[in-house]
Amino acid sequence: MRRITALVVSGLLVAGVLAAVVWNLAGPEPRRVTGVIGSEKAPFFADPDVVARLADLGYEVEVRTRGSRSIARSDLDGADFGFPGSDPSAEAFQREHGTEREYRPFYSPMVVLSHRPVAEALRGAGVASEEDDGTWTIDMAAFLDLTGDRARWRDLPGGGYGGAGRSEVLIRTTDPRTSNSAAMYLAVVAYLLNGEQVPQEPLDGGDAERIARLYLAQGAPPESSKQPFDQYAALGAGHTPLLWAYEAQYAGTRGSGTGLPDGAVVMYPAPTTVSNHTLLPLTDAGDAVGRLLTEDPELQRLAAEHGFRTADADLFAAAAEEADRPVRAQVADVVNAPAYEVVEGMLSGLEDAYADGGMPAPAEEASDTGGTDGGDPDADDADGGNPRDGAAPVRPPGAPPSRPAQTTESA
Amino acid sequence: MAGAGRPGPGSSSAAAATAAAVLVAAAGCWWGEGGSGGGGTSGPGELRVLAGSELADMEPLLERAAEETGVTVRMEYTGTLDGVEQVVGGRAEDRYDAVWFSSNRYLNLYPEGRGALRQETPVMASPVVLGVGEDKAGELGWEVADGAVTGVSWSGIAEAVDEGDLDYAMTGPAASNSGFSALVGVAAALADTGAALEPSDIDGVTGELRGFFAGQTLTAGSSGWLAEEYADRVRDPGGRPAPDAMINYESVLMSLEGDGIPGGLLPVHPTDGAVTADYPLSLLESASDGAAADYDALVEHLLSPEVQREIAADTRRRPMEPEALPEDARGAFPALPELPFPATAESADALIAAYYDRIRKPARTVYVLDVSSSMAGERIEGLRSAVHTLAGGDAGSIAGRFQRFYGRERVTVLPFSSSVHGPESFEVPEEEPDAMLASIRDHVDGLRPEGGTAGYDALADAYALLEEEDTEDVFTSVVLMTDGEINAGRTYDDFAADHAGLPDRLRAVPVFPVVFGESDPEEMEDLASLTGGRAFDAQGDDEASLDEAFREIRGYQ
Repeated sequence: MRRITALVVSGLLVAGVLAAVVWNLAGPEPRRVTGVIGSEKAPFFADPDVVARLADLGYEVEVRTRGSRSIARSDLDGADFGFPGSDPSAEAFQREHGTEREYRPFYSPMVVLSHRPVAEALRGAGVASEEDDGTWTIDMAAFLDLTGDRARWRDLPGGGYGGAGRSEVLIRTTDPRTSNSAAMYLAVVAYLLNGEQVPQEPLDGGDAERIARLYLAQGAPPESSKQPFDQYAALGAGHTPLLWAYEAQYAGTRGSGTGLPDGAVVMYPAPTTVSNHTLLPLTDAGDAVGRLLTEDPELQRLAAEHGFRTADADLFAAAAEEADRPVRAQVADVVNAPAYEVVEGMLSGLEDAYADGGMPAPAEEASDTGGTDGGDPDADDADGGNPRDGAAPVRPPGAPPSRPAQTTESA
Repeated sequence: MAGAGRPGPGSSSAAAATAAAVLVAAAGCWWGEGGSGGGGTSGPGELRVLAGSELADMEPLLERAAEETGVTVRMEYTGTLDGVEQVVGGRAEDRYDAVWFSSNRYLNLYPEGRGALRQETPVMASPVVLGVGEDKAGELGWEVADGAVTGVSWSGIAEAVDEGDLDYAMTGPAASNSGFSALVGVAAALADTGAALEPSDIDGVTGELRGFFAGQTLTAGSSGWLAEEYADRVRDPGGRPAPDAMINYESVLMSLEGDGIPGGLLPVHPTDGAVTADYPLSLLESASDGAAADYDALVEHLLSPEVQREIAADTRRRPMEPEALPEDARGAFPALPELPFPATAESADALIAAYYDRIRKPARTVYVLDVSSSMAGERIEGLRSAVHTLAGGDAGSIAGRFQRFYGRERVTVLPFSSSVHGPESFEVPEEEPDAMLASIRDHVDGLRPEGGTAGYDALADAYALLEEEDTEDVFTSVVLMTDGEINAGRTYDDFAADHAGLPDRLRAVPVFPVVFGESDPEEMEDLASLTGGRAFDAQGDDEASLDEAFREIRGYQ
């Protein structure tokens, strides 16, 4: 399918004082609300200012982190909401729990963090370019060509980068078996390998092998997105030349314990994908928290300071400017993630590849786990017309719950 | 961050709310009431941490952390492999809130390991590299700048070994993270695939690895003990000269200056990179939310610029906040390329197995075993079981795979009671060792306890046996297990006099005494020190204590 040419950020005005606020300010005890979230949002919920603001609004929010794959299927005993960080997980969650309501308080495009000499080497190889706003663009198709040749940093055309020893050119990711961030990389890579179309079923054969190698060749993967970020920030360009990361990890002034290294460079992959943080209420209390996160100006401002993009683009721009970090005002060239079953099928293939000690999964196995299970009406959507196949624009984040029931039901 | 001021009694509701926002965990306990989630029993403000022994040097900083954060850290130390086993086997969750090893990479190769950790925060870093004295570096023609050797690759080190100009000490990769990191790094560098090693790459690089590890002349199961032994030998060789160099954490090498080695050992910063330990303080999935709050507070404290500065100054580990260091202090820590760690347990395990069975110098071990009458009953059973573990009786566990007798190892069982019994030797073949391992098991099953304890006569016999052999290109060691006072034949003093008369190559053979039953701990310590070995305590009530001691000694063989 076509790439989306621009991520349109709506200028939706958030207005109005919520009745809930008034009601709760009068009450002595904050209402306890529990949620299951992706770990990338843990620092936001642990931020004392976020906690205090939620308390002012009458809520005490307790969160439990879960991997993006398990969040939809985990035992949610007693939880008021789920809060995954990707569309496929959100879709699976809603299907699993038979819910429709959703809030999208903020989102974060995926970026590649690098270091100036590394970026220059990629520019020399015709893979990256610097933009006027101080950010860079990495051409992911050209990058994949380099990895297909198993190019090494120091051998790149144009002089290469000598600080990475004899290492191959690879992007460092988290563990695709457990981590949302690595699954976002999969979405971009699979799109390109599939002829610039969002795959409707898991890639197999040589494409599956290429995908497996992009992960396995990196070696033992970090479990969470924070750990490799800390290493990127502390241990230099030779240690982590390229890191697949949430833009929020880079742009935020809050939440991250570690600053950026000297000469840090942010690259926007072309194409990239977006981590849409979608709050899915299971109870009225969960719904209230979703609404507050989306509509309360103070919480939206705090989210922007954590590096997330919200409905009001100015909030994010202001936070990035305060942090003195160049960011791209409008992220163009965004692809959607494949449907949940397709992602899950490819992740299962990767799981097998890790278990098999580096041998990619047999092709037929990978497609068996795909989204074409007979009799599943939702899976049939993948055949065409599904808004998630890459044709539909990403909805304005921060918009009120708008996805109608038929989004996942109709073809 | 949440938990920075973990609320004590009577704290404000705002602080309580802060603590409540901390991630709740708890196996089997979902949304616990307030701060009572989980099944842990740590008191408020106390974090129970299972830690690698190399982290003992953090104690002073942790005491200060307790004063400033109100979180007291109770560290219990263990070896890396044992720690991994505890976590993977689910035995850590009831006893600890967190684990802290030099790296979680090996642990994370196991699904049970990945599942056991909720949060990992790298606190500091240190690459595993070769350290060499300044004079030796000059001899080798290596360039020294800013207190380090630059411009040398792992292949360059291999060349120096190959030319007979360099030998070094290194820990065993199955027992210690520094040895494992070195093995992984050297294998990745010499295989030169640019990517993480796969099992199929190992055969192709075995020859080069054999060349590299031919230079390893001293081994140990712990990086700290290795550094102490190395420093001892530099100060007072006494027939046991220190190797030219040592592979260890950069921080350990840089700290040797304080151990009486003038100038310390200069870290070689390899041009092709290293494997870096990042010391992740890791919260267990099973921890209570109170413990999680303590963890957050502790992590925030440890990562503060002041504490990061102190870590760099006191332990010579690299800070995770480079800007915490004054600019003139950053030169000691140049950025290094990171060599990839295997992506799968299969690759890592295949590499360790290849190292022991095919690559490094073979082991030559003599087990001098007490079969006096006091060993009757449970004790002889414990001994048999301990030898069974080493002879491949338990291939299902990590320890069973890596602490067993290695391929090419020559094992002698030398029993003694009132007199010394006939020795029985076994050569474990490189391929298909099972039949030979079964013979070792059968042999110890046939040992019958009777009579007195002529331990030093047996030890003298062990040395006499080794005198007949070429001990040059093997890791030779003796294990002495006795359960009581040595009361027949030679005394300790007699043995010490004999030992002084041994040729240097035999004086370099360490004895690892196992302190068991009523044996005299002090005398066993003296014996270890006399021979350059280490005493291991098996006097615990635990039935498995002998088993554990024998397994731990494997790291030193």
